[in-house]
Amino acid sequence: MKFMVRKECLNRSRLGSLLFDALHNETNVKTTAEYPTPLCLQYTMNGSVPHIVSDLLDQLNDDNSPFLIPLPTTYLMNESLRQFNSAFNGVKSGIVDFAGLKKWRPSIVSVYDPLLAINGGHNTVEGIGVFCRGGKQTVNSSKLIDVVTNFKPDAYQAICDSDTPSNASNKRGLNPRARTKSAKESAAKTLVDGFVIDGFHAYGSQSDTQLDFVSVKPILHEIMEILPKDKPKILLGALSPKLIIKLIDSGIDVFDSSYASVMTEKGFALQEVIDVNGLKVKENSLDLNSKQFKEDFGVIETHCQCYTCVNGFSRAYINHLLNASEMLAKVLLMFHNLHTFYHFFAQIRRLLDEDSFQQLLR
Amino acid sequence: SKGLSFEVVADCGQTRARLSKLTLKSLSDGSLGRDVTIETPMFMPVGTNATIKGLLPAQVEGTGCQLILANTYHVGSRPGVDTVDRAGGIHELMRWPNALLTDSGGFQMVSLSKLSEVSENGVLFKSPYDKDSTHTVSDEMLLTPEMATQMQHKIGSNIMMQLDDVIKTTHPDEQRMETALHRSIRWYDRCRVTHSKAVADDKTGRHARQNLFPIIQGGLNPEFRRQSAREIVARDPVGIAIGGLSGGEAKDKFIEMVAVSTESLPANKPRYLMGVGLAIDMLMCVAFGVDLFDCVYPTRTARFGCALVGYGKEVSLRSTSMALDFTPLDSECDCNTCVKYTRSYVHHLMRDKNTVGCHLLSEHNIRFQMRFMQKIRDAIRDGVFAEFIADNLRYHFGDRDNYPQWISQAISQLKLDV
Ligand SMILES: [Zn+2]
Ligand SMILES: [Zn+2]
Repeated sequence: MKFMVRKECLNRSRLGSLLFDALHNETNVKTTAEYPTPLCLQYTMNGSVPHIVSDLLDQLNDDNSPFLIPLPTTYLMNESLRQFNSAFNGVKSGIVDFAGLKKWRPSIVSVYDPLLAINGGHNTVEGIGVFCRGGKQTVNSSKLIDVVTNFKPDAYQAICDSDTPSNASNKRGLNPRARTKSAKESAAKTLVDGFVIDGFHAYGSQSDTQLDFVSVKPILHEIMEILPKDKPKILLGALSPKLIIKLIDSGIDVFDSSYASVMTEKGFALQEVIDVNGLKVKENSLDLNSKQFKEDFGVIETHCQCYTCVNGFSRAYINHLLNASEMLAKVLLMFHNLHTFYHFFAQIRRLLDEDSFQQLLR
Repeated sequence: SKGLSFEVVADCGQTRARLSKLTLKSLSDGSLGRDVTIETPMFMPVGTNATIKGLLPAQVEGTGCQLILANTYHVGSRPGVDTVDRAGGIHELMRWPNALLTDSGGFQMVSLSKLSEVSENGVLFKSPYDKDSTHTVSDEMLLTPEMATQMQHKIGSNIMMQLDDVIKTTHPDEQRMETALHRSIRWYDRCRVTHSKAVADDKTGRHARQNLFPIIQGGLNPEFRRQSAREIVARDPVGIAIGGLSGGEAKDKFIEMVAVSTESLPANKPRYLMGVGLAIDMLMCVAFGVDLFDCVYPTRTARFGCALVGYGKEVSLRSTSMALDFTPLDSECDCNTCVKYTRSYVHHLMRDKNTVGCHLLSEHNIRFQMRFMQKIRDAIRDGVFAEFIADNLRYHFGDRDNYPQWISQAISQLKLDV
């Protein structure tokens, strides 16, 4: 994984590119895939986009973004993966092949799962606690290397002690001195290809409300001063569009799509975030559980180009599916919410390019 | 009929099995609907609540399926038939361009409701859904044959079922069984009247393309079954359903009743056996001349983590032995799941209750049913249906000595040397 800053914008915001080398298994041709930042990684659970089988990935309109593979829902696949790799003797290998995902999409392994809240106090000198089905697994650096050997991701996050509730400001999370120390130590590590900014929230579906931007901002800016400019900064979590805009302004380059999942699980449909003129941020969503949609036979959003809206699935139908607890409700919502979320990122990159991003912050 | 045509293409010769073409006309004048021609014998997956468990219409179609079933009782409860009507019919609501069959709702009423009472006028029942849910079927409701027909008119299915008086085949009272058989015929007549009126009153021609099927009843009494079939055939319906079976009766009784029900049916009408979906059961029933089947089994067993393989054995993906199995669910299968995934990966998904695992198994299991019916049709076409039965029996039971009683009975009745 390589990173290039393409354009420095106002404040700390910038346009850049994440570059991945990909060796195509069948053709043996080496290609470079380029992903513009600010970038949204495609969140996965057990190696699959939530509710979406891999045949439908082409219908997602997610710019073929790299997959985020969080460890808590994949760690238990490690042994299967080790033997999968040797069974297929290199023809198929790694989590992307194992999970039936596309070969030419890069993958990034993270230690924590944006949608699984961290329970405090489980990290020990032996390693960190990763919460999988059936309980805690202690992962130390040698186990992580083993996972990486079997998973074969294009990038992975080093293990870290993020065991800090974001609201405990006396702890290290929001302790400026500890943060600065950590940033300085991290910055000195020249072998790393990027930085994950962790500990401002405790993950899980509540991350958005936990991250108190006003108190985080000064510390975040101090960290950004210390970390090398030519490396990407990654901040994972189910964060709302408004918060993402502020974080981009503070220099974060890479996020993930878990917020779309949070909305889907609630039965909510995201509505277009930035209006056509790029002037206003609207953070509206439709609660499709509501009775008001029972006979609303229009699509979620008339001009939306997602699979659900283009194919004419109506608000009324999704409302019915949610009422009947039918799995298809989540499938249809996922298409729409991911499309809307990725469209939002595309709009941000366009506004940065046109030097009009700042108007979103007003 | 304006909405259905049926033509037998090939006869097995040795058994009553036949290969046919069934055409169902689209009800909609919009862009979504299309006329559908399917080859039978065919299996219909069940989309209880106007959706096939987690699959998009395009995925269902991708399995080779062009005819599905929805339950009038469930759709009538949620979102309600008037809502479906205002949506432009069920095809529009669920974005399904192909054909769809609805049952009458009678069976669900008897099996699901807290209370059901049958009188000559109809079935009185209580909804199992609580009051706050958005259902439009009120708490206590009398479902008459007229209403059952009107509900299916509003749903807009290609094939509608008459309301019948369903009683468990294991019901001990012969008298009650006979009443049910005659009452079902009377109810069919009432459904026909309602349907003809609707067709006459409908200027759009939509209802004329809907097809009403009567249901052969008669419990486990061969004479009742024959009587029911005679009465129904005399009314010259477009297609005929065989009901009241697959409800826990002994297998030998079941197959005997199927055989009796089909023995004097005209060749030029499709025959639909309700609620049957196990491969071996379908195979034997095809041998007695059945053309259409439906069952929740393939999608239900998928949700429990089972894949159908070979000629219909189940493989449990939840079992720990699957963690290191890097073969497809079924190496013969061409479905999306089998092309891309190993049993090992599906195992991990099912262990974590990830819905993607259910979707993958549902898609495979429906494709399994489609492929199995294709094999049956190919065997009939190629004149090797008896050999196909023999292969299946060896696969499931090994030696002839191990054949279950109902199978031995069926093959001797068919005079098959397998
Ligand atoms: Zn949409
Ligand atoms: Zn398959």
